[in-house]
Amino acid sequence: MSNDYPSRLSFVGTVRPGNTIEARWIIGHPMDSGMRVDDGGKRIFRNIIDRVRVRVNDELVLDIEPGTGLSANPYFAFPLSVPAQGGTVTIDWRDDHGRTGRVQQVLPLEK
Amino acid sequence: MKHPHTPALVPASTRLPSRSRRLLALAAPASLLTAALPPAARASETRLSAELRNRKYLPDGISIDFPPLADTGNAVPITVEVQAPAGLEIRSIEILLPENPFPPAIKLNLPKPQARYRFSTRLRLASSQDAWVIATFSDGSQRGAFAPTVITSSACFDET
Repeated sequence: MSNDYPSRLSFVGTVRPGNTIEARWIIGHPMDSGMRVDDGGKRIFRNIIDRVRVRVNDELVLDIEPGTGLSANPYFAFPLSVPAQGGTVTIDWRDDHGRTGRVQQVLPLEK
Repeated sequence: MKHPHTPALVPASTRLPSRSRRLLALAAPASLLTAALPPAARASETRLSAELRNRKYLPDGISIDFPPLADTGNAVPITVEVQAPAGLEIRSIEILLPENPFPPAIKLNLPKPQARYRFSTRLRLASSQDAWVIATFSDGSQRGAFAPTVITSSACFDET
């Protein structure tokens, strides 16, 4: 699964119901563009993360379609609004080789 | 590598007094190389670059934080903030890199349309170019803005 691709999800801002915080997600993925060749002159096939879906408590809040124009080890920072009861943020991704991964984190509610 | 704005490139007769020249150098960066040149002067430009400029998008409400000079195109940070016009909401935001082999760099679909959205990512650039941000609103209308950048070594292709 996703263990070959280390990733980190963090939250910036006060995690309090109703607030909008910034979520920052980075994942160690090569994002091969398909335009490069290896040392033996063989073409390295395209392998990028081509779909990312962000859910808060199973509700889809962001649907990202990345292209080859993103850097290796892609980084995304986006706003999230904290639901009244708090909850869990889930990020699902998929790449061209069919690998999928899921990153899940509970929103650390502050009093 | 020689910096593109090296003053020695300017013939002595056309040089401005030094203070003005310094001010000009401050104001100059990337815009001199790209935006300020007439279209004919930009020799190797893709059709998409020209087409995006011809579409005459309204840039209001879109702000782009993008470095005017990036050393390599491998990972250039960009922050985009979009404010929808009154009464409308943002449905999607797309970044196009017209001089890349595959221009669509990223598209964000917002299932819950929002009036304001701000996000950051890192782009891979094949050459110096204008990064275009195009926002689509709830009535189907679009606005677009661009930010130019100059890079001195390419990503995407193998040169390393």
